[in-house]
Amino acid sequence: MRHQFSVKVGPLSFRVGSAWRAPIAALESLYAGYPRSPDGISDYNVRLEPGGFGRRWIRPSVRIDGDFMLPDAVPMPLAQGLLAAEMGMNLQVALGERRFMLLHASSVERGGKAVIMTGESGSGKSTLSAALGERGWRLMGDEFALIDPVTGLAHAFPRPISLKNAAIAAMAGAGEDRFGPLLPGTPKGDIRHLRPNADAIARMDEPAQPALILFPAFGHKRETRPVGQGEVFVRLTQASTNYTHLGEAGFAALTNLVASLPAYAIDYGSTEEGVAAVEALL
Amino acid sequence: MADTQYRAEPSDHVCRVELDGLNLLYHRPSGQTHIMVEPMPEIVGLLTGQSMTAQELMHEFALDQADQPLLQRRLDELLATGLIAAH
Repeated sequence: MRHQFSVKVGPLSFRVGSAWRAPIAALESLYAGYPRSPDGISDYNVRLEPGGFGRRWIRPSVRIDGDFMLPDAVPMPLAQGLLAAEMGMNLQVALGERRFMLLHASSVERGGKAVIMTGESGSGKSTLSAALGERGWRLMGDEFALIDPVTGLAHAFPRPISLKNAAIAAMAGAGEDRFGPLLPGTPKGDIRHLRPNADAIARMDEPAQPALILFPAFGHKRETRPVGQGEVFVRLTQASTNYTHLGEAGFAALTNLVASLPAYAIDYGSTEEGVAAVEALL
Repeated sequence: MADTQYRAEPSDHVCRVELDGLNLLYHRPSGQTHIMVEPMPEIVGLLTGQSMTAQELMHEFALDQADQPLLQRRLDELLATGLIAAH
């Protein structure tokens, strides 16, 4: 395609092609300091194409295409081209990845031990992982935790963190130069991407031993409750985008993970409470 | 039918893990994960490697005749999952 960008994030690499320069320029700025795809070869391809005839120039709209795509997805305005690229990259991983078991979860690491935090969109897992990433923990990822079915290790996938609405201001202390552009009026409200800190990017190839599973829920009175293994298993099968595709390897990886780790639901009313709740457990 | 014989899938078709009271069965031929609680794993266990009638299962579980419809419902559910077969 006319404009291209490639990047390696942890064990996965991407090539993004675009009919317009602007989304590529935004990716280059947001992913400053990340390595390029090794040997120029990428695992996944994303293409940002005009949403229809003439839509490259007139009221330009972006259709997400790639190795894997959703045929009925509605094109997005070009002003949200960066979001389209990020969604396209997520889509490739969610639908295509087979080497790792994917959990829709954020993860952080300290002392070689990984905390996996999963929950519905809006549970606060992204913001909590971002906050921990600024307080001595290594951010391993805010969207997907990658579990190696053979070793059981969690691999880092530290893409920029997708901060929404009030979470944008809450993370302002990270420094303006690490933020992408404000994307107002998306279906999830205002979105701004935050590049993980230099430590998270430099150590993206360093896996960690999972040590704790958490189900955070923001907006509640602080409380920590243990969660039974049966419930954890069911919730993680729902949080995994490729559990069924992995077959018996996925079953073994998930049952091993659940059987070997403590799991808690943590409710918290502020980011500080959330950080304290995590640090009290590991 | 009273003399219908039931039999579970061969044991090497199933990978079984118990987590916290939940029995998880991964069925290799279909690639499906089944989540079961008592008495389903016990029924599958009894029918692994041998065929039995509902009456024989009632005897094994020391059930009354009044429980027969309940056992039949569980057998029908297991038949629907493909974890046991009737012949």
